Amino acid sequence: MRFERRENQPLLLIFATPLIAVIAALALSGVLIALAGAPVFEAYWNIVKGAFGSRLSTTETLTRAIPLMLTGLAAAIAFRAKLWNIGAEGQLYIGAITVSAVSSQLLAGTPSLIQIPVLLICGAIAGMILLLIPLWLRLRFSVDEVVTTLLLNFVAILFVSMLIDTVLKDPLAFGWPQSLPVEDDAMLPRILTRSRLHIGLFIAIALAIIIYLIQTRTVFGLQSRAAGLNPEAAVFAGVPLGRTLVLVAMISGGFAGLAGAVEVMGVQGYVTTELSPGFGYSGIVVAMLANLNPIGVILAALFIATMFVGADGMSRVMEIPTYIADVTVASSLLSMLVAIFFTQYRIRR
Amino acid sequence: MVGREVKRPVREASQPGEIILSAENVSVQQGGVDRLKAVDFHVREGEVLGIIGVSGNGQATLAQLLSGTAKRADGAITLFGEEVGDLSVPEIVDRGIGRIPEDRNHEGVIGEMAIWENAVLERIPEFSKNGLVDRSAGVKFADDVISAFDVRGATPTKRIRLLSGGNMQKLILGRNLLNQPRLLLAAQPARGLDEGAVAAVHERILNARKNGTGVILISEDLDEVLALADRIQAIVGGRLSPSVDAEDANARKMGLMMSGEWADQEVRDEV
Repeated sequence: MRFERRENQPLLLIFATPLIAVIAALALSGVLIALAGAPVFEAYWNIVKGAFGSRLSTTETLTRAIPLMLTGLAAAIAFRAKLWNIGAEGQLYIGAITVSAVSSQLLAGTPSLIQIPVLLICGAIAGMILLLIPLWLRLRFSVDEVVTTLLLNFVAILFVSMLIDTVLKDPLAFGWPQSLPVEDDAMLPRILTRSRLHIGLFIAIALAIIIYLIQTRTVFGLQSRAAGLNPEAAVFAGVPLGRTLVLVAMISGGFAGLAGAVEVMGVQGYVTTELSPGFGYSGIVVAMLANLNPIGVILAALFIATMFVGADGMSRVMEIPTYIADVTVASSLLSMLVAIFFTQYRIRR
Repeated sequence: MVGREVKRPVREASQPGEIILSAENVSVQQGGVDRLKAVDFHVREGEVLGIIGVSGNGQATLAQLLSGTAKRADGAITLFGEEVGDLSVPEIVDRGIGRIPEDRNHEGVIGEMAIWENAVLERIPEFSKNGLVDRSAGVKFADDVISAFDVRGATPTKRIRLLSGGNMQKLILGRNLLNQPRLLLAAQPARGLDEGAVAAVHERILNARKNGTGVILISEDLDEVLALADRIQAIVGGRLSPSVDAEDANARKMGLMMSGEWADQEVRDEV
């Protein structure tokens, strides 16, 4: 038996791949649910109910999908140019803490109309800077960015942890390590009353569409794809490799920073070290499930959010721990990687 | 081999025109090593300058210098009558210089991209406006290249890795030659191709010569150089030999040139 490269990837296969991967992941997790002694289909039904069973759960699922869309875009953009940004988690936290600091220290009393866009941009810039450092190390000294971006996550989170226990600590938080809250005027408007769903949803979807257009229509999109697929040939064709990667890193890091800003300004209002339940890492799964397609990121983020929110709901009515969502999400990444392989290769005897 | 008689095209006598490119005393360092040492050469309109040599003597660096991906340490280059600094790839392409890279798969094409994208990537300023790619113009350009250069089994939107080596090379030639470049740099243009494709590539290069294009042909294939070149220089240890008319060259003479017999003892010891 050997693997042979497919001449052409059938279009159907490209769309079916993520579905097959998700089904395989659900089947794998189903085995675990069965091992835990619970009825599998009922468990999945409860996940769906937990995610979309009521107005509250539906809006919670959508709210949860917002940062996942942004971190998913961050990963998809970078990976397409073969810039391995594993640091979205740290970039998210740095974006979040920047928003808290700027809002509470510099913009107190500024009207929403100014404060919200300024803060979103500040969060994005903070994320950008955190990714430009590893990129500089790569371009200047050929340091592998997988390692640097991954390790900077810990640096970033510990730095945030230090800030919220010292200079940015909220004195009214009963001693909890929690940052000063952003101004009320900095909170993103809600889409629906009696829910936490905020306009970050529209921002994320709009950005996904803009990125799709940039990738398919612009010179930068063409060049960044070329840089990712074959850097040598890209250089021969005159693609400015360094400049292209810097732009890619600015967008990628910017989106991850924005995810943090949006999460603070849309949901929590302040920063703790529990702000993100791994949004940065889940963003990698989102991007892979979406096959790095920005529009696909929207759907993949919804799937991941459904699993997380739904599993919470399910664990309340059945005796299955919510960790099953982590298992499903992780195994969907693995099965997607296998599935992507089979869209490019076929088995020959 | 190819199921039909393949005749390699023959170079016709011609009268070369003005000098379009001349290099004096040009040196290039890469990674702290002198790859080109004070080389002199020039090429005229409608003339093929063949550069022979054993691989690893500086051909790749010379090709990179002329392609815009290596920088000079020293020396002067005069292009179309004007002294120039180190030009970037877009500047070189913009001045009507065609480039055929030594390694098709690594430098020439991006396998996973469409044929039309491969056709226009190096001339993207021509095929874009305000940062937006003009896809329909690109597809049309690719279509023109495909039909004018007989690229078999190609449609503009197909991924280029699905083409055979010969057809890929025809596409690379075509994207460079369709608009009549004034100067063509061809590094190992027929390496690894079957006889039929070799003949096709040679014919295109000779056609370009007939139309007044100056060609710098870097090749290890002595038969190829004898068939195409008007003048020949050998590259040995980063140095270029004086030029020899192709009429006076034969395999033995070229062998001596490649061994550095023209150089001082001092240089030969280095090699």
